[in-house]
Amino acid sequence: MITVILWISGAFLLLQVIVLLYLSVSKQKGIRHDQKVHQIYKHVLVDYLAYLDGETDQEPSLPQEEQIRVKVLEKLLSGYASNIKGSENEQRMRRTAERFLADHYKHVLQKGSWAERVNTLFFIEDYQMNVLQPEVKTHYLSLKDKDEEYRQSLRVLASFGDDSVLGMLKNDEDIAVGFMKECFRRLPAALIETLKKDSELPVQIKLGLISYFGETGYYEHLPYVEAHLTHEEKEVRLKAFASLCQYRYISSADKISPFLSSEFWEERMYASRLTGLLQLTRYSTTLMKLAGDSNWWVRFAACEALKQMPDGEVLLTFAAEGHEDLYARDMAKQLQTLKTGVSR
Amino acid sequence: MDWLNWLVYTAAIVIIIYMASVSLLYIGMFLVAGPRIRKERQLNREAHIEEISMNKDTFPISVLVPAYNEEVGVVSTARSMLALNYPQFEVIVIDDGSSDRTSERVIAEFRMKEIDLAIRRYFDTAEVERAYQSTLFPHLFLIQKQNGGKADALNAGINFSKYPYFAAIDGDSLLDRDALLKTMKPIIDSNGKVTATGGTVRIANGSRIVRSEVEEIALPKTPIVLMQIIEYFRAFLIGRLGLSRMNMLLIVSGAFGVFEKNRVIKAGGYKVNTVGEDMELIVRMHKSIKDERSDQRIEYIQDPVCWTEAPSTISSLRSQRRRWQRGLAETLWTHKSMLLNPKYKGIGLFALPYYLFVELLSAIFELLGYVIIIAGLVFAFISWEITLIMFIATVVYGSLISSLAVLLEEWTYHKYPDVKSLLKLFVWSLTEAFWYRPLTVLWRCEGLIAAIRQKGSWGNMQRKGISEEEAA
Repeated sequence: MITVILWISGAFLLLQVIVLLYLSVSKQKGIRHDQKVHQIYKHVLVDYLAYLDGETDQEPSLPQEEQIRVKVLEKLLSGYASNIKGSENEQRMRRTAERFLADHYKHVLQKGSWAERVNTLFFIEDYQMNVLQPEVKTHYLSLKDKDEEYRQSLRVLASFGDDSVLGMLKNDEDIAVGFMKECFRRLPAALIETLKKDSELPVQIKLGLISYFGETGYYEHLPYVEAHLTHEEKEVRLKAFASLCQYRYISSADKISPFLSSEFWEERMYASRLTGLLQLTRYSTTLMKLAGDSNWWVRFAACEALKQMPDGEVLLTFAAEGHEDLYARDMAKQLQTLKTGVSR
Repeated sequence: MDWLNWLVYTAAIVIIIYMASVSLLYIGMFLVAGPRIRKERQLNREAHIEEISMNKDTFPISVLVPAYNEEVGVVSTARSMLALNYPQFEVIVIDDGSSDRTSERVIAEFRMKEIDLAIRRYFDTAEVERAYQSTLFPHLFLIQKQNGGKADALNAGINFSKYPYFAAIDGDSLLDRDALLKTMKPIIDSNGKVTATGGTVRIANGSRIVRSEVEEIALPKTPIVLMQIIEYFRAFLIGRLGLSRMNMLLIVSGAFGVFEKNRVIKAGGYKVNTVGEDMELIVRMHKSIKDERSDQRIEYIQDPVCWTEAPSTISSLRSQRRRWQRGLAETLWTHKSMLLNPKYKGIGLFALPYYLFVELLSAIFELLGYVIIIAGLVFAFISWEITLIMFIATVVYGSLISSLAVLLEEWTYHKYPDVKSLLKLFVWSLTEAFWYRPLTVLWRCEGLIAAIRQKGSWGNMQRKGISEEEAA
């Protein structure tokens, strides 16, 4: 018994020594690798930026060792990508990335670890490496888990303007509205128009689209958004209202009226908010009534809207002192002292 | 005396089997957590969150900072919150009836102006007396209330907050700039299926923190703080990640966690009159999720970093450990009906029994083990073989797991600038069984007794302040 225990303990001790050695060696190696990359990066930075900017055709030499060369280039191009202006510079960055990194990235997408593949997908998008579109598509189709790798593959395909993204989005029931908008932001306008014309869009995509239009503020999409104010699903109507709040516009103020007395508090809240943003003084009396609504959020939105009216201070003072509802008086008092921003 | 010998031998064997089982359980959890950390270890984390940092759909969040007599660190904490990289958020400092200058310091530093109150009452709390808004940062608020304890302060903060998610952060903690983004990412990516997330809490003692930001990570000189660093790695990177991967996470640290407000309201908010309100809430949230047959999850993510000041004296550490143990005991007692209840699946059948038998009762087993080892050596009433086995089990139990935790830390964060720091951590982890563990075991037993006697309080530590600017 004692011998067995001692052997097991010995094995555990040995395991600890192995972990210790592994840690020391890998940390040392990591530090040396990072230092080397940093040194070379610093050495070539100025000359390489000049090359990327087209000031010279002389390309500075990069290290032979592939791992180091890729890291230095990624560092250079990532810094460059976040600062470039103009399509000419973009083209040069793309050409450089495709020339030096495309083969390496193809290999990583096929054989790399999960983290390496995800990093590579981020770089492919940053450097706009359209030449890798077929590889990214094949890679996307091979994925089983809907994790960050899946999402980034879709983002990259969207940034390439790949029309199959529309089908991919429509077929994914679990996709989040926020992520869908990330794809819309990357897709070309023509594909967005195709989506708009699709009469059988799943509700989820519709929500994403309406929300995205509010974010862009493009007036050509406004009729589409307004048309959804009367949609049968409450979520869609609310999204349309949220979008109009971002537009800070509605073609006819009459469209708001029914929502100020809606049975759903969310609709009363959004309608109040929009009324305030547009300073529609004709609704001041209704807002005064809504300041005493049964729902806290409606009271807040109504008082916030009153505050935004041209005679907002007077209206709030009146509500704070003379409103028949105690909660309305409290809310008005809070809004008198509270500095508010525009709620999204 | 035969019966006494028999009793001691039986106890010794039970303890050996117990320690070996716990050790194996920890290794099992390491095997669950390790691959996940290894998988993500080379991930470019900045690129990972770049999109949501600019995304207008990133859910707005209220950051709640309960503060009780935190005049030394509260300004630094508030400033760290204001510097967060996040699209839309508000910071609410809740002064829970402090008797020092906590409020005065916040009011003066951020030029606050009193506002009238029209608070929703999701929960009843001790009276909220006043509220202030900063004229410099309109998204920074201070509410002053009568003392009601940390849980009550957080409930008051939830009542006051306006966003659908909230982050609860201790008054003596600092967050990395991207911590909130990283913690919200699983919630955003899952389209709300993740209802709460907790990140890694790290000890700031020894690191250089200037103007509420960690500038240089380094190890402290005090052994007692060093041991806590190792202990935190083990608890977070093995314990919590392991349980989280099986959707059985029972603790989101009170120092830093993000919650969906609706779920917390459904669960009834933080429970007052308990010292383990953070764990208690999570257990109740799990209960509410299971009762509703919802598929929501509570997740731990290894990356987001919240920095906190660890106790650096024996007395403050003792008080902290007694409080933790008491909180754990109270939570398990409150939710005893969930224990081994198949209705609550993994939570009832594994997580709660794990916390009962490993985290709570291990202190008694270990203390008994130490007593038998020492008494066995001094009075020679048990064989040296049994004493040796117990000694080895005790040493191996702690040191192997600790050393694996150091490995996971290097895979996760790898911010220690040199090999020396890692070796130092590693070597100290080997000494744990000889001094640190017996001490904490003793304090945990004291905490257990206090829980049985229903004695104790929120408990406070003398803060030095972790940001240089604050200390100056």
